[in-house]
Amino acid sequence: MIELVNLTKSYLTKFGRHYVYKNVNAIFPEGKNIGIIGPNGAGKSTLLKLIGRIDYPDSGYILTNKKISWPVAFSGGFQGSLTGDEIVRFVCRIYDANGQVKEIINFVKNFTELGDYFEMPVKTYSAGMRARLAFALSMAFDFDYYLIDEVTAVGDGNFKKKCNQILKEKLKKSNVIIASHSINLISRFSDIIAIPYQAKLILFNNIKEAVKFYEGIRNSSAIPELAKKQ
Amino acid sequence: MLREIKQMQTVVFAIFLRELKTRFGKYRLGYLWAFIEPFLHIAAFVGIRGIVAGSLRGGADKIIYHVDYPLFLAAGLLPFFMFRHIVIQVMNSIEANKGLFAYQPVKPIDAMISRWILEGVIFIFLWVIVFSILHLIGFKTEIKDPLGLIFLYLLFYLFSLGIGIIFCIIVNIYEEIRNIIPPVMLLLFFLSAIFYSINIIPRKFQIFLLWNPILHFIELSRARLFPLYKADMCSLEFIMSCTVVSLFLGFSLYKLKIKELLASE
Repeated sequence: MIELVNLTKSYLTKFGRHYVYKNVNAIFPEGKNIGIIGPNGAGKSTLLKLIGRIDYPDSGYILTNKKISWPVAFSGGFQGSLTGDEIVRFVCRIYDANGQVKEIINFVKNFTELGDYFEMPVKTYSAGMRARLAFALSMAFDFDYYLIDEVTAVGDGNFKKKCNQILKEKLKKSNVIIASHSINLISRFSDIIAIPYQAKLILFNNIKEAVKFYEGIRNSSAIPELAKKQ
Repeated sequence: MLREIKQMQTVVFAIFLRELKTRFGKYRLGYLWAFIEPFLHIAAFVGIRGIVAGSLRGGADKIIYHVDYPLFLAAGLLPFFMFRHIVIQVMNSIEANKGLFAYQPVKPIDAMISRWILEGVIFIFLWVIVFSILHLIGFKTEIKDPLGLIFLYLLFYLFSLGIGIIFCIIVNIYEEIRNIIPPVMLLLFFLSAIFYSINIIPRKFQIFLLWNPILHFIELSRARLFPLYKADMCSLEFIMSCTVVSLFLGFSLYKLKIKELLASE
């Protein structure tokens, strides 16, 4: 279970303080997959970052006793001069998974199909290769919740298939929190749909209702302060 | 609590290994660069002394308070460089490791501590190597009070961590402060009795210089190192209180401000 308690998060814009969330209270129940849907800039990624504790709220807090992943496909921690192998070892070390290093490295190596590039510094990687490494790395660890932002599937069709396959595998034991503006993706993976709207977070158990609501607000501006000025 | 300490240990160690690879890995001569800085400084100051004295040997033969000038310089430069490196490395640790904080076990303090430990290790190696080389080329000294010397260095090491954390928090709140750090360090370089002794400064200036705790650290450590060196003007109580204050201020600022720093605006 993840509980948002009085969560407030704002950004400073040219037009004054813009509240992405204001005193939001919500509960994501045990064992449910959450889909966050909304137009660009509505606060989907912000919510993911808050849950993943990369970003912090202005006030309020998030309560959970679950193991939550870093945003899947996040490659910000890849230092250019380190090799893929060194990065995987580093993450194993900080998650205290020293006993499984071999399995994890083998898994990542096979899954990414990086071949010899696995032993090369990541600065020599193409964007696609980085993304594959990042995705495989997060799938190599067991979490209760995986945070997935927007594009799950990276690379060619074949790799996309592999991604979806392993995600389905993971969903047997774990849950996902997906942020996207694709209704298709969200409805395929999630039981509960959360829509950030006017500094609140509205939860739907019924996908049809959520879609209907989303269609209605889709064209409203994400930053009302800006709309007013125009 | 115990679990948290255990986790911090593993994370600090992991970042330490990573820093070890990335810090010097990019240079052609790698770790050697850590040693080049103090030797170049010693050579430069000995050279300047030589020019002032009018002969090349003049600089090396100069004796300050019963201590050969190169030894005297090494005993001032090495701790000062440790201080400067720790402050700058710890100060930049959040900026440089921002990507790592997405991994939940990694906290900013882990990045700071591992950089601090790396600087400590570098200092020990540097100290042993620099004094060994000076010994080999004929500048010999015995260590008067090894335990007292280690205690002073440890104190200075802790003091530097506190200052590093304070600067880290400040420059992350007021980005522009970053620009005044190099001139401040340069000023401290001249004000910390690195290439001169506080004993040779006229009394009316001494009282100003003695406000600087780094000077006390350096002069007192010289008095623990060289058998005949005197630093009667410097006070151990003063630097002990400075260390306590710097650590207390550093960790309080960290506790109060760190979430605000990491939060996007």
